[in-house]
Amino acid sequence: MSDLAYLTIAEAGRLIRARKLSPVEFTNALIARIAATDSVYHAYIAVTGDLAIAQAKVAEAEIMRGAWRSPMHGVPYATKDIFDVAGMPTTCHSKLRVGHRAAADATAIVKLREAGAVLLGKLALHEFATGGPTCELPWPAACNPWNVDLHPGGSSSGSGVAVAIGTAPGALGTDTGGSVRNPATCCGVVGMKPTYGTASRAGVFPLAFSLDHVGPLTRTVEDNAIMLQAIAGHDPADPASVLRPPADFTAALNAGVKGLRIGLIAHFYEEDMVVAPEQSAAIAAAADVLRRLGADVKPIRLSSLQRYTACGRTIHIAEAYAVHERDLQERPQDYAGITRRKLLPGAFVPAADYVKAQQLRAALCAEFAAAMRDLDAAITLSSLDMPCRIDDADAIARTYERQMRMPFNVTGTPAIAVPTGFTAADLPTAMQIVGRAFAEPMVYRIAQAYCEATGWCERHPSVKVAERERSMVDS
Amino acid sequence: MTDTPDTDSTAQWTRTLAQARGLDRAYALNPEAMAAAMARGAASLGPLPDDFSSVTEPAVMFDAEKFGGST
Repeated sequence: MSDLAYLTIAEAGRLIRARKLSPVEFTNALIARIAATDSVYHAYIAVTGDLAIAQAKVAEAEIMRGAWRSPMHGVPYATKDIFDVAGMPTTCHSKLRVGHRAAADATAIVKLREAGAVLLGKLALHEFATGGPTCELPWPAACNPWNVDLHPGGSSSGSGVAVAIGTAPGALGTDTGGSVRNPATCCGVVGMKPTYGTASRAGVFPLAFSLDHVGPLTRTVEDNAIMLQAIAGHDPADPASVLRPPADFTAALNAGVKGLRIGLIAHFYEEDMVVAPEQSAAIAAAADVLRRLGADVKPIRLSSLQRYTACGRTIHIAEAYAVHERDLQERPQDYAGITRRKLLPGAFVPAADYVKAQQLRAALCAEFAAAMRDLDAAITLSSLDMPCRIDDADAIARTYERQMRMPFNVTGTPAIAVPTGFTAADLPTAMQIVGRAFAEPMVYRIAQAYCEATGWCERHPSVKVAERERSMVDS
Repeated sequence: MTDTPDTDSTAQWTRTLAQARGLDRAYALNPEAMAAAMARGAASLGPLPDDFSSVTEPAVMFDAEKFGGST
């Protein structure tokens, strides 16, 4: 059981293709693990057990007759419950969506089905990808896999938790201001926000259309590249979808970092804001690892973190308010208080400020492109702080202001969060590796070299099992 | 004359602005949160760079073909 729980997508895909692992057996094992753990961690809103078994049986039959589709054929995954799955509610973890039924699959779900992947279920999130952990909602909030009293990050909270505790080898998330990379950071897994327009958002409930990205969370860098490969590609149903064919995200994975030029955006956390010493020490050590592996790592300067954050925040709250205005006017009581507090400021953003923020964004994109011209990639922190208590709303609100993820939603460029170690309290730290637009292969290459050298991705939390379900897991 | 803020008129102003945006119900749920939302929204962008100008960009041209229209 435990072997299957932490089987990677790459390993499982190879075993399934070689007919040494049954997709049905793998799927059943993960469904049993969800049943055993979810009353503790609350990662799942809905488990699609029957659908998963049916898809696994189809995959198994196809593979047995030699009709192998992709590295994800027969491999289970789960999705943040903001992606449409035909016939199921897309709850967005909100009372407002109770009773909803999706008419069709989101494009990412279609692509994963076409790749032969098996959908295990739909995962918890912050309400509409913007609220926060609260008991005001119809489903409980997911909790941190390393300490259940702590915040798991968000908004793709269930995605980070499910991947970390071995109830899904990979999960879909969305990232408007860091919502893939934040739970990856807090849960000690790998989370990628690809270049804007790389993965279709059709069938995904929007938060802020010019900042929204779809991205995968996985336990390894290789798995992340495999999963992004499955969902990338042009989609006419998403107006922002890019026309260029996706790169081969795994081709350069093992090319190492020797001779690469990597910028270190240290002023974000050394000058612009105060950082927790654990995070600061971890990225310094990570930079040293990359140097030992042969990379040339040196500081670079951009505009202040506050400038990037203010630009992104203004666009974010104005666009998100436009999405929610009618419901905020007509049924505000159906939102959790924390969600209303995040959405209502958008009602008061002057129109001129929204326009200026988009103009500033163009200048910041140009600045970032110029800074990256002579570099292969750059690194910076993901979070300034360690995860706070899940019941401390004020501390949680602060963490969303004290992070370095929004700059790369503003620029639309790829950014991956990878673990950089563990504190004395056994909590993960993380950094981001960021690249030029469409440089996902380079970002993955550096992430892979770093993670292979350090082994941080191989560490898993001590998973608590509900007493009544313990026999299922032990058997 | 006094330097003490006129809390009654501030509250009235908040309520009036919320009503103007159709947010009467949200205001009634939590007037303090509405006041905080106004402050946060109005000041979201903050100071711009010294060399920033919003009149240096050429105007964006609407392209009916690109947006799926026909002429």
